[in-house]
Amino acid sequence: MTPNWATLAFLFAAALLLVIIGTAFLVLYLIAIGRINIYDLLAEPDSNKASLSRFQFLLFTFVIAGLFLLLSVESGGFVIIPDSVLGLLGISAGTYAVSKGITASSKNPTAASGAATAHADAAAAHAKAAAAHADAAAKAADASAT
Amino acid sequence: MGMLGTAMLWGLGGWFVAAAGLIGYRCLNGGIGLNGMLAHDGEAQADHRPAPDRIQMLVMFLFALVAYGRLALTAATSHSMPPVPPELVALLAGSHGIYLSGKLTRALQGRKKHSP
Repeated sequence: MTPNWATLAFLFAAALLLVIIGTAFLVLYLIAIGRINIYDLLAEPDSNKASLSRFQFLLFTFVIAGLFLLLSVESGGFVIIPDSVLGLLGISAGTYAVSKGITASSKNPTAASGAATAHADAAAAHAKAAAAHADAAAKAADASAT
Repeated sequence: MGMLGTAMLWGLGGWFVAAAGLIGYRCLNGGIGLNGMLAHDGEAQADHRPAPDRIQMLVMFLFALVAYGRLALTAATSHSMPPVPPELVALLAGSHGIYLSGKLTRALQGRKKHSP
């Protein structure tokens, strides 16, 4: 019996689709019954405060992905997302990154200066040790000359 | 698009609507923490007072999102979502710029205060 490869491929793709969508709905179910806790979905890892940037990403994802799905269902095919839409997302992402940079640099100026001082102290100690070695070597050279 | 493509679109669409509804509900009933979202970081703003630059950024962002959503629903072609008007991009970039410049100014002031 010759296998019908087209039917096999279709069945495989259908099974894969079922697994993917089933997993997605399972995750949603676990969130709904509280087995997956999403209380900190919008919180920053190092604080208990919700992040405005994360909230923006969440809304942006829902609106753009929702429009994409809606228009795709309407047109009967996948629609193209223009670059300017990704540009909007880029503005939000860039702001988030710069904002985190400003926060990190304003939180740790003392740590940065402390590390710099420690490095400078270590370098001075090394220089002192090197000078002592040089003195010892010079003395040894004098002794051997005499 | 074949039968599987259509099934995927409808399956994803259903999941998407359910996810959006669940997250929206959790945001409204306190199941997702929104505390301090409109307040600045730091000890000076520990009382979580809303900050004007964060409020303007949120309002502008919501405005841009709603405006683009309306545009996409009315002006979409069958093959593509409509491009974002440059005015909307400029509005959003300006709003984010105001937020960042405010944050940078506060960071520099804080550094001056703490420097010996």
